[in-house]
Amino acid sequence: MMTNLTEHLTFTVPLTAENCRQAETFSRLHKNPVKARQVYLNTLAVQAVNFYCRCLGIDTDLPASHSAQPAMQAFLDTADLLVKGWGRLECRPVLRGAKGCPLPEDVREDRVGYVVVEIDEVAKEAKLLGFAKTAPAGVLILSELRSLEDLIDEIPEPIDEPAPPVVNLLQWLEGVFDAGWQAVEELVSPKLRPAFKSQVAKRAKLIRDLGIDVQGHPVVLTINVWEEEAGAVGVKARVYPTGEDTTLPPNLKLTVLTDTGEVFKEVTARSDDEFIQYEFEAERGDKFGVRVSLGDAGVTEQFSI
Amino acid sequence: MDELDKLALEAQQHPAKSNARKKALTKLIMAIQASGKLYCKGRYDYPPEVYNEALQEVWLKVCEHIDRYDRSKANAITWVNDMLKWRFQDAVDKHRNRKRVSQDNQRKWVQTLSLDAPVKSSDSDGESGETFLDSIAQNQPSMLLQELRDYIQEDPEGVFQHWHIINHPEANYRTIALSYLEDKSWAEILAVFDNQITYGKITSFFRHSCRHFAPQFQDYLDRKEGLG
Repeated sequence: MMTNLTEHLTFTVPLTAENCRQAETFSRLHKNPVKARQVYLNTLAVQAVNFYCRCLGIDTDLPASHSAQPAMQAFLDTADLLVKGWGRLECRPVLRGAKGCPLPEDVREDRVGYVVVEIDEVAKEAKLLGFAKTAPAGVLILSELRSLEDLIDEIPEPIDEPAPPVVNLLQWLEGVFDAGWQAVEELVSPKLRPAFKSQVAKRAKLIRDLGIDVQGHPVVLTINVWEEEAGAVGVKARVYPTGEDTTLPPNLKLTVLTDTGEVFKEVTARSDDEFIQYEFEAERGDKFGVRVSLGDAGVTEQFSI
Repeated sequence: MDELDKLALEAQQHPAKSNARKKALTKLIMAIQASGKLYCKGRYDYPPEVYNEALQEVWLKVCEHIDRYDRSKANAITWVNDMLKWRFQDAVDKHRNRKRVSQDNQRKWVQTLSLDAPVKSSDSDGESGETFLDSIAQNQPSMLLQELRDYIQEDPEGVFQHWHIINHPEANYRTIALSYLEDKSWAEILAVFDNQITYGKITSFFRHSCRHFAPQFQDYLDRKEGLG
């Protein structure tokens, strides 16, 4: 039985008070009772499929789904769930005993597939009956639906983002620098640049992509490394303005992160700060991150000693 | 070893996140649901949503922590029922708190409180996610859509008026959307344009235009909601 590959997979989602509350909240926005009922059932179906996706670790974007947007609910009969890296998956509700699932014209284009969801309002359950890739006839016959197995195969596997490169600072002490890191003189204006001790290895990197507030005004992250006694290494991270700017955007943050990503130390620029910095000592084998951020936007660099 | 144990072990064999594991987990949960062996004491003493909340947590945990299932310690169904027992206890506590909070809120309602203040509950998150604004929205069904209607009517940038069916400036998005929101049928809307436009053309134009303007509508309504 367990190796029976032709078994038709379904999945029953127990509906919670929160699922029902969401459906009620949306449906109450609509005065027309037919529309209100449609929105109620559509929301439950989307919530059910979204739960199934959560179980399987499939990323979705519910707020960007038209089914979760009051204006789109009003204009279209839509029960879409946006699956990241794939597209809009239509989650059509049917009631118990239905044999077919008609598809409104609103959902016949621009969908990556259809899941039919049987809503049982008494038992508060939603059963994912099966999947169809297309619906050329404008109606899905429930007995002809494909197994959820086919849905799983259709969803593109997420492409793993390459791990960010880790900059080895010990190599810097030997004069070997990583690509993307330039001499400090090339990026930081002499007015701002302090004199460094010669045994300090230092490099600078332009930090862009900090959002619209500093668009056109990238900042520079400099890292200085030097050997301390007993094999320890001193590290100084500093952030400078570039170009005509002589001060940093207020609220710009410089954060040192532990190797697990927790905040070790955070420094915030006030208005009129020419630079912000943080200096600390590290041991060989240590890993840490340095993050430069403004609001939600930020760039993190990873280092090892 | 029973059927469910076999399915649990099968799910473990496949790498996390693989399609094979996703299928095996679906199979496992489907088999547990069909087995009639799920057991939860006190289930029928509370509304079905309470049990369902616990069961959702259980399915999430089964999927997330399938590697922690140890056949030498317990049958799969025992493992699942044990989780269910604890999750159900949590759900019952949450349910009781929610009831208490909603009674409290009725009392608090006479005091002035910020509309977007979260309704407190004592679950782990500390908040139920429900705000006082939600409670008002429930009493005023079409407020948000009235905002949408006004926005399209006012058409501050003129975009809805200028977005029209080719060669038919009168059949513009603003006119069609407002008629639609007034619950006019397509036949009635077509009559507005002296039946010069076909049903297929106008509905297809309307669908595409709605999708086109979706982000704009959402931004507008989000801002409106944000203002409380």
